[in-house]
Amino acid sequence: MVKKLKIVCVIIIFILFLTACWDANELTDLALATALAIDQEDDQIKLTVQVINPDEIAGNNFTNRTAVSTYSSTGETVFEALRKLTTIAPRKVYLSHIHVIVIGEALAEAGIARNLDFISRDHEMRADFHLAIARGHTAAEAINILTPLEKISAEKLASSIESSQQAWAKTKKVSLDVLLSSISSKGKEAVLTGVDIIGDPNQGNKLDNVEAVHSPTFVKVDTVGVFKNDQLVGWLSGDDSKGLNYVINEVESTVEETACEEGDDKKVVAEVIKSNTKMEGKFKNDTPTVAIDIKTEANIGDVECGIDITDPSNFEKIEKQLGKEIEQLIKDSIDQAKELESDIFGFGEVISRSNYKRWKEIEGRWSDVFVQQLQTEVNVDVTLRRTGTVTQSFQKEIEEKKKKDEQ
Amino acid sequence: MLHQEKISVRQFTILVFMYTLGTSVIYLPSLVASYGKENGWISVLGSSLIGFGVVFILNKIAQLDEKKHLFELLEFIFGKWIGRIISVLILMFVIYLLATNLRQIGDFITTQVMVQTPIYVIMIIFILVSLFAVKLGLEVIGRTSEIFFPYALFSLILLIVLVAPQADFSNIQPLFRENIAGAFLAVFPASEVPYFQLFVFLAIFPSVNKPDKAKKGFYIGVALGSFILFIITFMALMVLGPDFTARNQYPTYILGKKISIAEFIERIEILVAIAWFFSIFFKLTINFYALSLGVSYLLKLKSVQTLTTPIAFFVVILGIILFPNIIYFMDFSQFYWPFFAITFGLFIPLLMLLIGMIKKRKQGNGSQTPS
Repeated sequence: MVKKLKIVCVIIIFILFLTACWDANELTDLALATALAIDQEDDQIKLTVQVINPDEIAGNNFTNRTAVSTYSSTGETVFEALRKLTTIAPRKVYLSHIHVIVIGEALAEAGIARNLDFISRDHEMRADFHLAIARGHTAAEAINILTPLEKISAEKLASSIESSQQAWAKTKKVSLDVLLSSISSKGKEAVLTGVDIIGDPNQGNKLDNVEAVHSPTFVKVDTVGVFKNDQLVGWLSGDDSKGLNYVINEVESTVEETACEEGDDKKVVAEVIKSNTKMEGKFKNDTPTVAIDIKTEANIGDVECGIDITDPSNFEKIEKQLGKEIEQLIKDSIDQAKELESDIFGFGEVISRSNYKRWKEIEGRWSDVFVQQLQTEVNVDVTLRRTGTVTQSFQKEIEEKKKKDEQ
Repeated sequence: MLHQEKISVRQFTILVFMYTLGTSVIYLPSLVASYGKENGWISVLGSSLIGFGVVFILNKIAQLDEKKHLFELLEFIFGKWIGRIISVLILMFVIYLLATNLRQIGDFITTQVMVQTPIYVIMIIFILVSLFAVKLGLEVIGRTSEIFFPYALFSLILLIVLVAPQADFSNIQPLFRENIAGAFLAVFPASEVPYFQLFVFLAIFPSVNKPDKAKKGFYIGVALGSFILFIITFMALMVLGPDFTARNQYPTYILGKKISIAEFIERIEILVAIAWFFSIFFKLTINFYALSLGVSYLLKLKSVQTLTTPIAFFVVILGIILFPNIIYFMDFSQFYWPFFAITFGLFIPLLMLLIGMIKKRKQGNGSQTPS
């Protein structure tokens, strides 16, 4: 009898604990969000989420519905707006699979800090998404565009941000922890890449946008937006963005070009395959100075003129010229940052690392010191490695032929 | 007989290792980073030195009489009444430890993994497993530790290796410039959690089959545990940066979230979390065992297991009512708890050693020692 009672007790305990998980989230009850867009609308926050339409991604019979849908709602805060979405969206929005968060330009100019806390606090949010600013448009429009190739446009945005930094270096991918630590750092300011809409945004959210060979409307990853504290203060040009990436050692690969001869519009183009930056802070006669030392490896990728690249002295000349081009990029980029009064390179951190005592003296007025006093010494060392699949270009023969014809 | 059960030296070493990791493996990086910022890892090194000191003292105490466990030793050293009073105080401390650890794992799971699950459900599940282990006895606990040790170690190594490509050395610079005072200050709160609690191992020390080698095992367990703690803190600081590490409640878990190898090996943080599910389980179980040993010894019960079930229920309730909220808990454990910890973890063992040695010398001069 007692034994039977014991067994019954054990069974009851098992029933209590082994039924199911409290937090079971069935796939059919979730709306998987892939992108968030945060805009300012009057005094309120307008939140737009892009959710996957699962049937169109993994089903067998595709209908002519779109692969993603967006829902918007407004609220005093991001969190409120998100929960309010349940009134419009058919299911609970699940945030773990977010690829990008796009912030409206107006909101970025007003300050983003107050909206970031929720994103870093919420447990569903992960740390592996990219952040971007919708340049010239609202963020909602940026995630409303349908894109060819990638059915989920958020995925397209995320992979564009990544691949353009990798191969082009004029954009910059920024994750949440990087953004937060540079916003709160005393010796560094934040940057975020911009996304731009080319074409008519209203047309971009219709299915016929992807039915044409050339989509009339598409999203483009743009250059880098500069922050001062948590407010967007301006944009760098493409070249300046590249300069920024050179300084902070995030150039993986890019294209550099230099004139064959001074004043010539024909170019020699090199593909940067590796770049390594070392920065060192010091005080030269009380002037805070940062020495930027860049070692770049490149291959020749394109020759437009008849320069003899098999001649070592010419090779050296090209190396020097390329070095100067990069140096100029960096100098322009620093000038631009000084104009915007924002130390996006983290020079303050570099100086604090090398001379902490002196840094403490200037820490409080760093942004003034950065604009007025900071000196930089840029030294670029380019090494050309290979010339691609050919050595001498055929340009020389063509030039000679042309000359003969003229004679 | 209360301790006829025997565990091997290897099992003892693994238990020490697991105990050292305990809950620290998820809390420590945040704690040291909030004091010492980029120099937080120095505090981990400093605290592990203190840890070795504590182990030295404990080994010396154990040497006084290798057949006596903690509570017998207390009575032997301080005499019947004072010894018992100190035993009761220590038991209260251990009950508190047990309840807090339970609450910590509950808080972790309800914050990060299962948000809608009531915290007491998680606490009950954890304590039930511990209760089961204590009921089965020390030998079973020892063997369990041998089985789970590879999994725990493997998932920690997995975490460290997979997150290593994202480490950025500049995050922990400038070295030794800023927050040095903070880094040294943090040595004390950092050593309170694993090291000032190690004295509970005196309760199972006599059960190790080779007491001489157990001393070495004690050192090895603490060394390995501290090393893992150090590497994890170092990685958290390098990958997440001091600010982010300090701001996060569970930086080690965030570190797991950061793992991304070729966009293929991702989202495996819960696999990594297995490591501290095991380490916290063993910490709970050892504290639980020491507690029931002490209670049964003081009340002269025949078996260690008699009061375990009521204690388990008591501890769950205590864990829930101890702290109204997480901020209260953080404040308490940072500013008030160290004093308790240092009293029980350092002063009482020191006192035990001092008086014990004097007593032993006196007895050595006199006649026989009563065992």
